[in-house]
Amino acid sequence: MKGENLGEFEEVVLLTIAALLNEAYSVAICDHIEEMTNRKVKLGVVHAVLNRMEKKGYIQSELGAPTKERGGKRKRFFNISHAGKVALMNSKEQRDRLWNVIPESIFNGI
Amino acid sequence: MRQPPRWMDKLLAFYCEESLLEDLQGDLYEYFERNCNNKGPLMAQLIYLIDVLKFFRTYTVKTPKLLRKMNYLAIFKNSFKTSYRSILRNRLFSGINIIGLAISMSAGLLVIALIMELYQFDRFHSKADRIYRINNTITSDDEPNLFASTSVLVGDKVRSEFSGAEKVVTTSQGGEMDAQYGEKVVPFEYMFATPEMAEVFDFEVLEGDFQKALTDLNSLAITKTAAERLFGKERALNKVITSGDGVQYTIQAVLADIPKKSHIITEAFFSFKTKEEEQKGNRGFHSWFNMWSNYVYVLSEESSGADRLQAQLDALAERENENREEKIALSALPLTGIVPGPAMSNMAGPSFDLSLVWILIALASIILLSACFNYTNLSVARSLRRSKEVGVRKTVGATGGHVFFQFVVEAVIITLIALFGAIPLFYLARPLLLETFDDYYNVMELQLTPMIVVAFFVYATLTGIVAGMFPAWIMSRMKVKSILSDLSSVKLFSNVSVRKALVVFQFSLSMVFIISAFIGFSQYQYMLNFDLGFNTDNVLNVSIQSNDYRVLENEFRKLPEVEDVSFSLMIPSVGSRYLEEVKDMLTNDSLQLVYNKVHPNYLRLHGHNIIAGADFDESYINAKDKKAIIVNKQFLQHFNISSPDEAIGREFLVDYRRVKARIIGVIDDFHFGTTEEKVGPYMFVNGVGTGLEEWPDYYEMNLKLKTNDVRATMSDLEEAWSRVDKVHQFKAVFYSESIEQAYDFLRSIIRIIGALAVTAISIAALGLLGMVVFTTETRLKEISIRKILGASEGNLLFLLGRSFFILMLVAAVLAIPLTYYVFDQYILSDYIYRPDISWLELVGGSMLIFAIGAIIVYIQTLMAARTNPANMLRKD
Repeated sequence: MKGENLGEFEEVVLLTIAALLNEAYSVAICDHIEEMTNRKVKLGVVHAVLNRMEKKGYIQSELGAPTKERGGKRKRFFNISHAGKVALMNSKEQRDRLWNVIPESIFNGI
Repeated sequence: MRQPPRWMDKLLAFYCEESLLEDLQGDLYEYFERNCNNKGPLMAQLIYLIDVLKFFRTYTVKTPKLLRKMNYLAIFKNSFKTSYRSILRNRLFSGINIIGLAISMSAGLLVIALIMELYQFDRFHSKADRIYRINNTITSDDEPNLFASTSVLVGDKVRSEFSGAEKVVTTSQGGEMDAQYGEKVVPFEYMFATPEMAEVFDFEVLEGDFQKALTDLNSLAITKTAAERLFGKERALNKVITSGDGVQYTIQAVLADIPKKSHIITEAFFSFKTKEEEQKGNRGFHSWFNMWSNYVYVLSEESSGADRLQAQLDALAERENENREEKIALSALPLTGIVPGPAMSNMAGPSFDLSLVWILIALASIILLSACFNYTNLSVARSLRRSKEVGVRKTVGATGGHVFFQFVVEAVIITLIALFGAIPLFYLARPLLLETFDDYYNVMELQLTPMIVVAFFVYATLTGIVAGMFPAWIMSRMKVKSILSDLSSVKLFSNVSVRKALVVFQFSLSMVFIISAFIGFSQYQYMLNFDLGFNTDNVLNVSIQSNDYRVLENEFRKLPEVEDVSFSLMIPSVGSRYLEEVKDMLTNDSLQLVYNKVHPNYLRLHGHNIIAGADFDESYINAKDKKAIIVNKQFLQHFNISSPDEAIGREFLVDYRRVKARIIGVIDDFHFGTTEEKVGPYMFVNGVGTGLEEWPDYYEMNLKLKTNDVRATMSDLEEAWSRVDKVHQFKAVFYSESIEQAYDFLRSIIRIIGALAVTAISIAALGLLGMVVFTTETRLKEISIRKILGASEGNLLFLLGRSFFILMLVAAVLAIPLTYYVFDQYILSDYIYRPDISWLELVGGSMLIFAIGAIIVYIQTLMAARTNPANMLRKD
């Protein structure tokens, strides 16, 4: 099937969601990515990716309880689904396999 | 904590999908708070606003409630996908349909563009819906004659006596005048108009006072281009120009050039008072019968004032017609009904016959119908293949309506694709159309304006819907069970005969067009080569253009190529006629007849045969008191003069009963009109004068040339002309060219019919191609088996071609009598002199179509007959 592989940014977002457990919402995801990778990410980009991946079935979402912050607007929390986990594992395995057959000497001295 | 401005929130809530709104808003809010702390409230608000705008994306935006509820979006998407795939899968059939539709739609596009432009005429006047033109109708013994013009008297009466008429404009035809300014003499076209023209019509005024220009004596308003010709860069306003007669006129207004799409076209307006002053001595100027060169326009107070106006016109006509033999009726035509409009005599400016519009629409529709039939034919033929698809659809719950819809969508898509193919064809055919209808005034452009493009899209969509409806209807009615169970037994009931009928229709149509083109062509050739009864070879007619004709004669006789020189008032046999009234002094019988004023050399130059009496001689050249006429045999017949010799010496009153004239000679009858006119009484009158009077007797100089090098001769002639007249250009036309020009319209019509014939044939051929391909495909199995059993190629050809041959025979049987009847009874009945429609044209045309059809069938069946039977039967 076409498009089975995860995009690079999609993978990053999925990993972030997995890491943040139950605290994964858009703003937190943005902050986490910026912290961990030093990449500046825009909310809009993340938002779009989250929407797309939810449609593909890699993540699920639900609205949280209303709180005092954010003017009372609820947050949407994301969780990685089974399919998402499988996708992440596949991706990692692919990379590992490719890495394992590279002769050690190539990266000596970097 | 600060809040972002309410209105930004409202904007977000407005466009955003409800399920996403809350958390999105919350996220933006969170950032807002951070930015307030880091960058200050102003920056934070700005960022918030930008984000609100940036989130306007496909997935956040709400879909309108209506669409969501009805779910048409899903059906549309599915239909598009299916149509797209089906088109790609059947490339041959789709290609045939697209090409056929493109060809036929281009005809429709041309007609649409033409009509849309025609209806633009005269619309730039803001009061256009309240303006009417008054027309005269004279009923003489044969038929009522409708005139675009009317009398000055009518204008005056409407102005003074009618109610509901806000303003009345009277105009008068002018002509071309030579205006002198300083050393320069420049010709320009002009007409006369009353001051109300400035108020009723919207001609743009650049400088000066238009109304004043039309009120004062000897004053005019001139258009920009003409002004530039006269004055260059200098301001035209208030300058004085002098006419050839020495009268001075003051320019009191400068107008923008009159827009092309106006039936009133000229380069200058003179005040009507100027014309009235000129015509002071003419008692007939304000008469009820002086209706030849004046036009009256009425601005009605209310927008539907036509009835009121008409009632008053009828009353006026009744009063004026009392005690008069010839009755004139008055009618009012709305300004917007002039172009396109009914054909009338004395129309000034561009015009377009309304009935022609209908004919064009009819022709384009027939062609389109042909292409639609093609589409139907091929689609239905293909339906066997599609029936499985339809069956499955119906099983999973599609209703007949859904299936119908899907097929219509497919048709519309194909038609829209064809539209793109039609547009280049449109550009190709444009010049042909423009040449036919617009070579004189050059006002039509037939360009693609946005409005026209929209019209095209609507047209294409409608065509697609119509084209798709029949096959769609058939498909939606098919029963599921019979489709899915046994494909080969699907009977499309009456479809086989319907398809055959469609093929017959297309071929009949093609035959009709081709036969028409052949007939038209031979008629045209006949008319060009028609023996007029006098000699027009090597005769060059030169416009005198207000010069002294004796000076011209002197100058041109010097040239060795000029064998003979004569002069005449007009050129007969090219479509115009000048009428006079003569009265027999013996019997008091009077007659209105066609005539010409000629120089003594004329009859000799043109080879007219004098059968009694004598030709004009030198003594008649300046003989103002010695008027003579030479008449033809028909003239004698009308006045019951028994023999030509008896006619010599008889006296008649000519020149509207003011001058006595004697018959001095009789000539053979000749054709003084086109082939539409019967030969009737004719009269030649001797011309007098120098040619410099206000109404000279001669407008044309006839030169009999003898030369082998036409081009060298023409340049010699031009030189001779420029020695006499340094202002005007040399205007000369060969007599044979003038005759051709008289039939120009016919020639263009024939070309258009020819083009239509090609179109119809292409579509029919395409349709036939599709049909044959399909039939041979479905019969491949049969063909293979027959081949195995020993059939030769010839046998197979005969078998497969037989049914098509019969169809084309039927088409010929329908087309030939129909075309003959239509031409004989309707189209050619106006022409008194014409050749008979010969068998050659009738049968030749059908043969051509036969041949084309035969070739297609032959090639296809040949290919089919040559297939290796083993390949075909292996599949089973």
